[in-house]
Amino acid sequence: MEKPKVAFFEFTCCEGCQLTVLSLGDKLLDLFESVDVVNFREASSYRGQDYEIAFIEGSISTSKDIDRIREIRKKAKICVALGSCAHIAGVNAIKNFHNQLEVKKRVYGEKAWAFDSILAQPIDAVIKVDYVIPGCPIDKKEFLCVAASISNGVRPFIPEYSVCVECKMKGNVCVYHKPNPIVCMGPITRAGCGAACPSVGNACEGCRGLVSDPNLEAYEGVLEEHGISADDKMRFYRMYNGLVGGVK
Amino acid sequence: MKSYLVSKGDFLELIDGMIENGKEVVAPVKQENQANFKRIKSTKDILWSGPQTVISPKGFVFPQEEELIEYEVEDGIWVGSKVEAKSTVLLGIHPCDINGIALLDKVFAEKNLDENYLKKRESATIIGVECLTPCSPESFCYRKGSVLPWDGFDLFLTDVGDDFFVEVGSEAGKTLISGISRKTIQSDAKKLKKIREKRDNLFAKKQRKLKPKLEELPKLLKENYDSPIWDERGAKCFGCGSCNMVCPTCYCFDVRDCVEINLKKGSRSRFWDGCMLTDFTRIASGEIFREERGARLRHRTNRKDFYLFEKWGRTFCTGCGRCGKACLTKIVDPLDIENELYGRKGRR
Ligand code: SF4
Ligand code: SF4
Repeated sequence: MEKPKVAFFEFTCCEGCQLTVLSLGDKLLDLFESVDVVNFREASSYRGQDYEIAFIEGSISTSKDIDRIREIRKKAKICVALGSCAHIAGVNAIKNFHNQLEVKKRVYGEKAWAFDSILAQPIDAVIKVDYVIPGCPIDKKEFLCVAASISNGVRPFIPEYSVCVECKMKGNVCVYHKPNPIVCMGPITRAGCGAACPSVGNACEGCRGLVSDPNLEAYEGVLEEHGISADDKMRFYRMYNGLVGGVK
Repeated sequence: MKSYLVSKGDFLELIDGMIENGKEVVAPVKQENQANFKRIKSTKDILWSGPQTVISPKGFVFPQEEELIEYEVEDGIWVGSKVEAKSTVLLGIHPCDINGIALLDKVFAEKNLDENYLKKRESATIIGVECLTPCSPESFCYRKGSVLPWDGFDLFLTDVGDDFFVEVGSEAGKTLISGISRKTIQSDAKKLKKIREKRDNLFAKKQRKLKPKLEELPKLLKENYDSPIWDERGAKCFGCGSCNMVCPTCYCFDVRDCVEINLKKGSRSRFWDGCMLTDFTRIASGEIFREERGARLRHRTNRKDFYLFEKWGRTFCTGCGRCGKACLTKIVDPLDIENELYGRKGRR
């Protein structure tokens, strides 16, 4: 069997997901053995243009991005969104909810006019995405499983269920049941991270995006019960999920 | 059933000795403002009564994630099944959870013997402890006839002062305490009876009441298959499955494969699953069989107090109250649901 050719691409992001791939240790060598990595800026300066599987990290946030990602889509048989910036525009989309001129000025200063910057979008706003590896950053184990499934021609497994499932499996005390509860997005956020944040005493911030059928009404009821104001609620949604359908 | 007296000091010493000799002993320990089952280093860590553990101890015989098969594809294909167990003592298990395991024992040994479960189960020694005060405001074990174990324990302890009154449920249990046990006399049995009467009175007063009769629950649920309360409650459901995960009697699992990135090795594992989850009702073709959350809630409730109750002649809800606590929108508690169904029946 010929090894599938794989390329990694980055748009607006911190490249932390690619760094996660790079820090796979022994498994990284296995990855390089089972696939032919032709493009991976974090690992090599070689730039191959011939690939079947594209792992794409980052949001679309300039008009040039749109052309570039369309080119990638034309060449790749399979496009995989890597991490929340590509998947749901993640933290990049926070800027979408502010005055764009002010945002640009704050980032680029007086020369702001010279910079090409558009509203941040997830990559599926521009191209068809075949699979998603959610998270900020991605989970190593999940990346390996998905990458292996794709290389094997099998549909990868990504949970549809919420973070609560994994949180309960771990036996964590529910964030909402602690003496001083904080807002946790677990009940509406897609699992797969092993409830990473609630397991260390934090709350889920929703980096993996929402479940496919979130009950936002019920969720807002829970927030209200815990004294969360409408403003705070929006801040929570907008941390990662400002652009996700249904969130208003 | 044989019973003995064992001094508390002797018993704890016995267990500590086992721990020192490397035996894995699991017991409830405090965790923040609740509790959890953990491997203990000393009997001092044990939380003998409330607050309740977040999840039941079923994971020690039916793990959250369990590898069933490994395989390798090199020149040929090699497949090996994985049936593993570690000898473990589960100590301080409350009656609701002993009964939960007793029910799993029936299910996993029905027709297809589930080797993975049975091996772990055989390797577990279950030492229960009687609850003399309710562990949480959510629990309703007394209403489900579950303040005492039905079956499925090796030893069952009741605190009678300086001693434990010990009921023996297996040969292994008997052997375990053979060096420290004393025969009980009639006055001990009387003392136990008194303690239990007091416990009954306390639980009857403190725990929420079940309005319908326990044995009528299957009929009540059957008659209310089309009740509007399923959708009313379902509208507030996240489909988060917390109620399934914490339950001592939920036993559904999903089976998934994971190929290693070298594409040469892989494994097949099972994971806890739950009827409230979308993934659970979605089949391979993508179709969802039970789309409405209300219908899932009905299914969950019926599995506890209708279908399995009828099939096995015993309620599959031991009244531990964990689901009622775990559910953030407070819709899932079986006792609540059953009381509401009962109350809405105008004729009663
Ligand atoms: S249904 Fe709820 S109360 Fe009944 S045994 Fe399960 S978790 Fe406990
Ligand atoms: S009934 Fe409650 S705990 Fe169960 S899935 Fe629905 S919201 Fe979650």
